[in-house]
Amino acid sequence: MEKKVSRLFEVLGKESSKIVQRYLPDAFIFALLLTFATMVLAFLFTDNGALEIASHWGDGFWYVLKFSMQSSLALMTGWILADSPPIKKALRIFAKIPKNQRQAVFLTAVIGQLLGLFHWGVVLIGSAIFARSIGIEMEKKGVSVHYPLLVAAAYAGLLPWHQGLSAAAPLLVATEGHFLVDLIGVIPVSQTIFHIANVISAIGLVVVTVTILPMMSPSDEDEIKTVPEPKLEKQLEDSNKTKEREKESLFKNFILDTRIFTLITSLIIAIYLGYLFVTNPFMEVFNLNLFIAIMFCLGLLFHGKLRSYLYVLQKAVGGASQIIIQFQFYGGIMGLIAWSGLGELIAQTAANLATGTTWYFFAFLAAGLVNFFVPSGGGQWVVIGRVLSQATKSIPGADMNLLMIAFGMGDQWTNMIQPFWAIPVISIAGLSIRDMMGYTVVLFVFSGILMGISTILMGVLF
Amino acid sequence: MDKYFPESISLAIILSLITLLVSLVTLEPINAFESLSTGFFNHLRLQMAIILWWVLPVIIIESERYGVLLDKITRKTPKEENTIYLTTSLIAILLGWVNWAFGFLSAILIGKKLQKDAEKQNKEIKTTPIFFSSLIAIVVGQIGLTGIGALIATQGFLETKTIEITTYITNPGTISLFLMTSIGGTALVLVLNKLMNSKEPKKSFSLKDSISQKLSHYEVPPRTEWAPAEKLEYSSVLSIIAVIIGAISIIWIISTRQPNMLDFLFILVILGLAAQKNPMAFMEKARESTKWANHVAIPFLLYAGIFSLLTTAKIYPILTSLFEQIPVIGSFFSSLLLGLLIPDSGSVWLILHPTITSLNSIVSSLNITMIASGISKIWLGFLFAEIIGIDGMNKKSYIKYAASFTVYLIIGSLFIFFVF
Repeated sequence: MEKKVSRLFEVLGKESSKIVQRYLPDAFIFALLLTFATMVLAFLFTDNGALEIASHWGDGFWYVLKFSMQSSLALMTGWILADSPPIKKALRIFAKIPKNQRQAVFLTAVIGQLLGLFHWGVVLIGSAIFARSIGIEMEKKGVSVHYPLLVAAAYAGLLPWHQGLSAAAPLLVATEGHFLVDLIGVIPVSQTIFHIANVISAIGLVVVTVTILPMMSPSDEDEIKTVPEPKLEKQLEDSNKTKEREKESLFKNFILDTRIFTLITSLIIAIYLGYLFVTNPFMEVFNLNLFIAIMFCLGLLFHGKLRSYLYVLQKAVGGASQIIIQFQFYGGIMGLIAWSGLGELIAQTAANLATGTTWYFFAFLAAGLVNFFVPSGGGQWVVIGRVLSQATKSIPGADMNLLMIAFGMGDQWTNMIQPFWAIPVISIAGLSIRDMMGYTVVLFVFSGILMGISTILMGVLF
Repeated sequence: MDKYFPESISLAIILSLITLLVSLVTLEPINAFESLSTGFFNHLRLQMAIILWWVLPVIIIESERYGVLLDKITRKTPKEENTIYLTTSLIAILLGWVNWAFGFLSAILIGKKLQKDAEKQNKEIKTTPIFFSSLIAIVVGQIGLTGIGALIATQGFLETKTIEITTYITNPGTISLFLMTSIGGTALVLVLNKLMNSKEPKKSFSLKDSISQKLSHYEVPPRTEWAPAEKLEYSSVLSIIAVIIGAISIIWIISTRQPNMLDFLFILVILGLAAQKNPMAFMEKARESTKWANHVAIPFLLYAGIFSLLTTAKIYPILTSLFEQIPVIGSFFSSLLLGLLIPDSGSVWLILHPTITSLNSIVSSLNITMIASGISKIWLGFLFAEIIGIDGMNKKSYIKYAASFTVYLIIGSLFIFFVF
């Protein structure tokens, strides 16, 4: 029976991978297509002329400039932290624990989920490094492990991220002066990330994920695809290379290799943050900017040497290019929706169809659908946050904080079938998306059922 | 200089710690720590705008289509030594006034291509004069149409008087600085080349048969191999539609108001889409071009912290009173010095603007800070050379060129500031 279930999961995975690879274009293409589609809708259903629509796009283009910087910094600082020597060392130590394939997949899933709940930028890098380390350790022990499943377990760490500490939309709306503050005000994280409904559903999600993933381990040796240890070791060496010291002056050598400056700077930031959290309720003051400050502080502290920090910084900045450019296009779509009157129209329609009980489920589905086209959680909030918020205000009995939770669930859900964020994971792991995506599709199905039920219960119970 | 320059982030940290120590004279330690840690909160929009200012123009220039244009220029240029240096300077000056990257990268590419063509005719052309001719673009770019300081002032990112870009570029002081830098800079390259006869090391900067080939970066497989998703990814139709709508939006902007910094950035995005052959080529080049923003992406957090410390510790009024008797010289040399430590002129403006604007008019303040910061870039030229992979320069020649440029530009600039 167990073998049949595994086989079913495998076939499901393989077929869905084929479809994703063949028919799903890059997220930037969707950004352009969504822009054009929104323009057509605005032209057809509102009183705006072509020139007005073009100007709404231009005006909206920079509307989320600040948020795009916050998101870029969150990714860069998280990336830098995850690729720091102590984190990599700790992950390698953990990687020695498992003794068989199932344990290896289980542990990778657990680490991935924990990192995902901590930070979406950290999980993309940290869990991939961990999967690679486990691959090496298991090869050394002579235990066959299906490496694509291991990497899928690492990527699955992104599943609970929008319910965790780095949840972009809840952290943003907890920040003074966010771009929807006039509409929804400031919502502290105590009402979103740390709300009981969010906490319980996040725990449920983690349990389901770490249970299902090991079940997909192939038992037939012929079906196990391992990656040779030398190949993984080589990748490890490449990532450990830092800038050459040749031809540097003693002064430059000292500055780049001493730990004094990073230690003092991180200590200063840590003292301030410690003071802030001791003198103020954490739930009331924690927001996206503070989160970035924490990541920056930890990154400096963990790298120690500026040479090491610099090497990773260059990779992290390149990794943030999608956010730096693409978020502005999302801002343009938001401008179109907001200023053409299309947003009010959609919100009113949604309000007419949904009730206070069903609204969160619809919001979950809407966020899941839009995430397929706008894979960045923050970017997606830019595109549909206003519409969802307007609709929530129009629906009697609907709460803004619960909407945020439902939105987060929808956003994280379809990450399992949208490979946008898998790119850094597979580049570290040395696999193709096709290899691992099938397994995450299975998670998509089961986590969807769980989160769908959670959103319905939210409407009934709260 | 690369041997000694310990990277932007290191200098940003050291500058932050020194500022923190100074601020402790008037601030409680915890307040000073707060300023340093949270200073960036208030400047996130500015930071992203500066990053885009560095990245976006590179996407346009480093495109195959733009390379074809540059190839046409090189074909029509005689391959004589002085003509090559003059052509490089002219491109750097004219395009550099429009934008730093337009001028600098175009001039480097044209200069190196002409050098290669001339070498085929057994004529020796040196890299150092080509590089310095191109560097003029970096200096004039600071006081040109898209000079970062003026653009920041058009957008009102900082608490200074907001200006219109036409007010800035038509100011007699700004025009004089431009003429002094471009005419004098070009003449200086020619004179220095005649005076110096040092041998240059071997070059490794690769330039294929044409500039367009070098700039071709995105290979599209044969149409028969395309998957359905790739039909959209390789489609230039999507880019064309976006460019048409963007152009309409730009016309609307220009016809209704004076363009500000974000408007200029929007124009660069649309030009980038037009220059690259499809949307994916645009995004790939965007990813590659982020290397131009490495020196500001994270270090800016600390620059903003320094600004916050100086503000909350009320150090700006002290600096202002220090420079009160020497408003121009004090402002000029502090910008020059800070420009040596901070490669991004926008960040230099952020840190110094409260003092400099309280001593001078807004346009004069911009001119002083930007030209001084531009001069310092001559000494940081190795940073740009490293990014584009230019080598083959004699170290001693480089220092002599840089020193001569610095002395000339300092004297020329101060003369103009005292006249206007």
